[in-house]
Amino acid sequence: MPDSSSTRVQTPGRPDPATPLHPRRRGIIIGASDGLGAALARRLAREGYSLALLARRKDKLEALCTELNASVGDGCAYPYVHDVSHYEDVPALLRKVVANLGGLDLVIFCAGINRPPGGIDKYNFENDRQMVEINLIGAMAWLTPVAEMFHSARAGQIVGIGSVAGDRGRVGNPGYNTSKAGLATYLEALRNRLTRNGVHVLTVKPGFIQTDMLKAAQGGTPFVIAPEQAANDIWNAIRKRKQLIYTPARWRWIMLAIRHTPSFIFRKLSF
Amino acid sequence: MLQDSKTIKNATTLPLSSFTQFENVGHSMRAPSYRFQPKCVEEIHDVFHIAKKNGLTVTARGAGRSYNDAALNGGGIMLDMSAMNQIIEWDATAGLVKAEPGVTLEKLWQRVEPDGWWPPVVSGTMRTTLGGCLAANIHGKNNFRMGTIGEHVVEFTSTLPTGAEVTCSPKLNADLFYSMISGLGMLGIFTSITMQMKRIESGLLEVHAWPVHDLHEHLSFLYEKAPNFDYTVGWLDTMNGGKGLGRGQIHAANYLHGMKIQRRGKR
Repeated sequence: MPDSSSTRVQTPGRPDPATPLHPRRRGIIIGASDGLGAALARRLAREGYSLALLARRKDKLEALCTELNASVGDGCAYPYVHDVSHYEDVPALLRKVVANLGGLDLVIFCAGINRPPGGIDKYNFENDRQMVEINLIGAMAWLTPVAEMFHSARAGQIVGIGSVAGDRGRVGNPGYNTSKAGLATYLEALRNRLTRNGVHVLTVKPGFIQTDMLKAAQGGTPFVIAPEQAANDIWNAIRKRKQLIYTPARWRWIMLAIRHTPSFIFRKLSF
Repeated sequence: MLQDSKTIKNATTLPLSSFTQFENVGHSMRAPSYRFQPKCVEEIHDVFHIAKKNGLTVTARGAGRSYNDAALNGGGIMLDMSAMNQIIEWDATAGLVKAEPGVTLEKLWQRVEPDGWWPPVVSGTMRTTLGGCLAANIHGKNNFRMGTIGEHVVEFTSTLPTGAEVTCSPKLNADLFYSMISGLGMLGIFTSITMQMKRIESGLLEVHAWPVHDLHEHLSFLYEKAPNFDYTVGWLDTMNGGKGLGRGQIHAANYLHGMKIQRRGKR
């Protein structure tokens, strides 16, 4: 084995070539075809990850994989078409992905939908159910077997994408608030279980990101950021093994105030 | 997480809790696999069955003392053979031992040495397993005299991925016999190994050490000394280049015989 430090040639924008002594790290991104998931895929591929990208939309997913394999290097992205609401497919698919990647270091659950009821006087159980099924139960369907694997392997990183919307129940979109609050609590429980086993769990709470989901936002959308900026923040948090981040970071202070707003005031607000 | 034999038996699903991080001996490579620790041949069959059902590859692991990735299988199944570690038969008059593949060289010599026998080939560490030694066809510091470990195997039985149990010897299934020795466990799993030990008077050795100053001296010294010794080994100082390339130390050893053992005993 030649000395890797002297023979490795770094090309700008491309990760080091994988060698037996420096294998690529391996990751799964669930919900990778568009928006934040795609931005994360581009970022992690540049950082030298081999990625399994999962999403429903086959054409978008394959286009992204082709783009990454061409721009970053062969073998950095593999597409798997998967619908998060098909919970029973998850364990077999997870095993298949892990066997194909040859291991697993990072799992990012990024799939999410936002279907508001359409006004503060409207109610829509069907939309609420879909949001909880994808955003919360979908995450549990994936992260439970992943947590079990990482628990016994005593290594690994789990990232869940929550939302600032999960910090308070608000008038606009009760179902979405519930799904993201539930996800944040679930991730916290996983973190408390797994930290003692060497596993890192990161909760990300983004504000507004310039993606398709932004169309569902009602009212004002302050501090909109590009998905690339959010992916950058998330990558830094993965690297530093942080527990909880807001992106952009100023939401931490805004949400601190909102979380501490007493209910007799909060009830009268309509944002 | 150790597998209870009952949980393996007739299981068709892979328990996620068997997912374990494995490393090579130098900690330079690591990969996670589903770990199974069979205690008998039937359990190896069960593991093959599970692997087929899930479309996964199987790698056998003894003591995990390989310097490279021979005992790693990222994302697949790891057949940890360390629980099949019994010496089945020991014939102290003929020096024939029949053992399971998970027996370490340490366990083997501790059994045969009191009867005046020694494994014909031993590795630098005594923690390696017999199955691993045979799969890698290891050599020892007496390679110039005794060859590799595979040359001293009389017979072995193995389980093939097809489910077949075969007995191999230089006469019986000879092609499989010679392919599975140094086959790195890619063809099948050893289930028992019969090996010829070599006669010794005692386990005590008379050891000599000489310094050598360059590669030429190193090699000619080894060449000259080897016929007179049971074991020789040359240590290289790899930090030295140029004229001093190949500088190092040569150790050589002979088994003690007759009078020398008694003299040593008195001291």
